Amino acid sequence: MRVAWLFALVLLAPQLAWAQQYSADRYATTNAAAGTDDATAAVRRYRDQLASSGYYETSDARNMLPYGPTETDAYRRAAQADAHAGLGDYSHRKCVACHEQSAANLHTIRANNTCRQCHGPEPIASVTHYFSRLNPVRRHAYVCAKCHEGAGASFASYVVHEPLPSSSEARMAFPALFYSDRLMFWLIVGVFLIFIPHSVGWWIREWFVKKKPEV
Amino acid sequence: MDTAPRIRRFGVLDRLTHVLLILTFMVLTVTGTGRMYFATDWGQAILDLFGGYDSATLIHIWAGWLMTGGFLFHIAVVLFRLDWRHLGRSLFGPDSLVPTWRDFKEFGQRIAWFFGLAKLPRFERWNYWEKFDYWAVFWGVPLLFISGLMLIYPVETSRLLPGWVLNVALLFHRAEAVLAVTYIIIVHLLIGHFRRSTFPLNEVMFSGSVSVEEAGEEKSDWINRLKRENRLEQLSARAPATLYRVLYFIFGYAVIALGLYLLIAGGYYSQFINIH
Repeated sequence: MRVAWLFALVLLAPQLAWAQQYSADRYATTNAAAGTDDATAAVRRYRDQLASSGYYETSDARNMLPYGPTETDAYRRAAQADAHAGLGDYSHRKCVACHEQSAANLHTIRANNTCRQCHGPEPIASVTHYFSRLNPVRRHAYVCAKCHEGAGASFASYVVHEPLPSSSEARMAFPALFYSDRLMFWLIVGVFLIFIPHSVGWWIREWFVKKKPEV
Repeated sequence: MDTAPRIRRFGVLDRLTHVLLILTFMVLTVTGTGRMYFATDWGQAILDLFGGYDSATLIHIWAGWLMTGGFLFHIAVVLFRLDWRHLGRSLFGPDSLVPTWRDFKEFGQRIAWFFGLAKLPRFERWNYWEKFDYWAVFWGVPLLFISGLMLIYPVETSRLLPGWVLNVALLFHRAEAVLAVTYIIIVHLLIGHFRRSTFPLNEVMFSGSVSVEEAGEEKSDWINRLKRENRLEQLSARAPATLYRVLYFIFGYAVIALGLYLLIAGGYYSQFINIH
């Protein structure tokens, strides 16, 4: 049994240790080959490790506070050039195996888009990462405009992976959607709260009328 | 043929506008339901009737334009009919559909009547229920038209407004459509036609006229006012021809059956939708 554990550790440990460096190296070689590598080390450090607010060079990384080991991992991944670096058995899995709810959007279901049509081939950088084609600075040109000709940065702020409008997640991330949903919900509830009992009462009551009202 | 004296309630223009509204509303409902239930077999079957998702969308858009056209036409007609010299009386008088304090009182009186606590209100020409139905179109059509227009032209819209407004527009479009369709089916169709006094069909919106006796039961204050002003004769109308009656009975029941089917099937299949 102990041997099996040791074997597992040997298999896993180098992968975890090297993965981050591996993806960074991949970009470094590509950039160096293309001759586009930046001269300043500070910018390179920024590009490799930090999430971008979309206005790189002027304002930068978001202040990300992890609350626990799971969040730490998620936040660390949100800042990576290869968001899936070091994940075991990654190449044999489908996106929806982990991102199950992400496929429940109109682009996937109605337009029959695949994940890769927007998120691109491997390595998939985090959406806010400098490298990402979905970074807000270039999303409209690199992704949206492939189908929506003439799309600008404003157009790209359409939320494809929309949170459930009634959820607390929407309240935090998309308040306009959340409160619009509440407004329409209470409008519908209000209309039916008045008119269903009114209709049923009317319907029942008419059967008990014996005399016709006087004219 | 029925020879009882009849009174005209709706002119040809209003009845035609209403038929246009029914037709565009049902086309929009069916194509919109197909689009909303895209992920289910039922939605696919509906869309297949219109030649698939894309052509159903195109029909939905054109029916929307037609409905908006009818709405604008009706507004033009109303503006033309208004008595601009006596605007106050024209807007708030008994022949107007503008809600007044009287409507709230009559609503309360009707609720009391359910429990035998009050007499049935003596309604004027339009009662509160009809006024609500009428004005619901006035908030529904502009909301659906504007949000629909934004969704037809998303790139152009995003130049004027931030792109995330499209998420909100879609939510409003869908929620308002669900409200309108369920209200029309449950309240307007079922209670409008299947009450004791209107069963088997409330014919007035198709025939345009109603017998004076029947109008006197439902809207006694209106008939009394007309008698007092000696205008009852002016508004007398002929009974609808039998063939015409057969036609609108078939049409009316087809729409009611379609509405009921959409309501029940839509309720059932809504559990299989997973889009947000």
